[in-house]
Amino acid sequence: MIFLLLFALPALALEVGVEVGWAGRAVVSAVNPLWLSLENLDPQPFSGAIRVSAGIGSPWRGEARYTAELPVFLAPFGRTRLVLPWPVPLGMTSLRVEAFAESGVVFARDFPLNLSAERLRAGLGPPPEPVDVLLSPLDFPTDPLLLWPFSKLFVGVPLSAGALAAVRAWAAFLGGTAEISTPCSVSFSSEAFFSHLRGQRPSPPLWSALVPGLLFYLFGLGPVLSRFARGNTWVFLGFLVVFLAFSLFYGVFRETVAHIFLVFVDVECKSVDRFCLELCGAVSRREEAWGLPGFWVEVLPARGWEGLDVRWVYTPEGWRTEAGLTPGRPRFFLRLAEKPGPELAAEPSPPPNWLTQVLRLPWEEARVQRALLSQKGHETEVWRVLLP
Amino acid sequence: MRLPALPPPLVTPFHGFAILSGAALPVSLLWPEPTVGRTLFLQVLVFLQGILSLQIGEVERGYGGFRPHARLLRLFFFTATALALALPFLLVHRVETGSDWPAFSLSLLFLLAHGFVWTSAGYGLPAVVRSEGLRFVVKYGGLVLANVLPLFFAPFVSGLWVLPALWEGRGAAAGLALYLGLSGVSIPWIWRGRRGS
Repeated sequence: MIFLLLFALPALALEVGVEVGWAGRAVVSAVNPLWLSLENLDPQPFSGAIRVSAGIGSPWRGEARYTAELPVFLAPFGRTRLVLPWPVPLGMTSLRVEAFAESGVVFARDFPLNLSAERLRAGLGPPPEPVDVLLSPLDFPTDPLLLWPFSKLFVGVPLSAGALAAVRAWAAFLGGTAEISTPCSVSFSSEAFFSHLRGQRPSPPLWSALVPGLLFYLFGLGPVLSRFARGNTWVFLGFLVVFLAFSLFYGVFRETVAHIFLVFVDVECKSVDRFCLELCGAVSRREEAWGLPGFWVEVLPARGWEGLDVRWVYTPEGWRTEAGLTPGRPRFFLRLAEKPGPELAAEPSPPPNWLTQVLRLPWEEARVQRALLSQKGHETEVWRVLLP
Repeated sequence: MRLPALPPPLVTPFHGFAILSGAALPVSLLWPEPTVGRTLFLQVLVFLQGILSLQIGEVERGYGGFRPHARLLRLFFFTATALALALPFLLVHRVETGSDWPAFSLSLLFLLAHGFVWTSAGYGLPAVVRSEGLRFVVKYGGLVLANVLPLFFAPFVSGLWVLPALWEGRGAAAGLALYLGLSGVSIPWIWRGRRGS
């Protein structure tokens, strides 16, 4: 009996409760709040990590996996409640939550999701018409991503500055409707952005060296092969060595150029106080493990989801989004970031055609800036769109 | 060291192989869909190498009187020389597709084995199929069938699948082992075939 208790103790060390979505309803194709309730049942402090993971997609669309990992420390018999943004794409029907300590897995359970295909109507304070969710001012998030599951929000009580900024950002960039929203409204076409990214190459081949090299090689090879047939093998080998050296030098030079091409689009509205919309597209010319600081949500293509895994890791600097890049498969992420965006030596520029197709906004009022950044292995094109 | 001279009937096939595989390189680099472009050059190369290797084997069959070990060395040398012709293109393709050196080395090993298997087939075929017209059909028909048919049920047999898989580091050890094994088996086959002819 004592042995049984000893074996059972690690399993009882941590109790985890999970709730996904407002009022327990997870809206599909939106970022939902995921509440984790943690309770340490042990007289010892708990130090470990929580991993939340879920499969997305279908055999027809392709399947991938989302994973979020965060470190946890709980005092003896302590309890806490955490909230994290959790995207729910098509095909996600349950979550797996695992807790790890030094001794190994101390908790693992699957939680089914209660899915809703429609975005919800929510009210804060007494709503003028029936709503799906009634929010309390204490629960109201300051992260606009968590308001994504709402289509309409009735606000009947005064909001804090943070909550007001979140509502305005949600209304401006995520297509929500609220009486307190600003006139700024921006939407995007994911197909147009994918189409632009598909045409991008991290760095095109160095044609000015490659084409003459190829022509010299092929034209020179004819006479050299004839001499080889007459027994002059060393001329042939010498010729080959010269062009092998050329190819090796070409390779050494090309190894230093960028392998990843990133397109950042940053949209800022003056009337939206704290947040801006950031889109990030990435293409790579080889398999790369890639990461971005912050919590980014992937905008998925219509099909071909296999391998589009995303991992969010909570680091001392905050969330970090990690994803793999495969040649020929652009990836598209978005987030609502705090203003101002990164400091850039950006220059005014007319909006290119692809950008006007990607973003639906009043272009006649927009000011556009462009900057090019080059880091080791990365080439980044930044477009900043400023709206009144 | 005295290296063998290229038999004159092989000058045009060697040059043609270099021109066609050289042309395939910019085409694959410019291909609008990068996932297709990455493998296109390799698939063209492996197919052209099969054709050239068959020609090397057939030309060698009727060229000079050499002892079996010398004949084997000649077959291997010309197979390796054909591969060396495409090596500058492969080096450029490696850096443009970001393939790593181990994958590149395994791909070269596969190409060498693949080339030697088809050289052996080209060398041995005249002893089995006497009619030139029928031999032409068997030779090139066999190459097409061996590369295309297995794609549907046993892709590791087809060079069109094995080479891109090795290049991308997706395994394909069975395909590599198969061609290395076949080239090993073809050594005594050439040896015996020469004695018998």
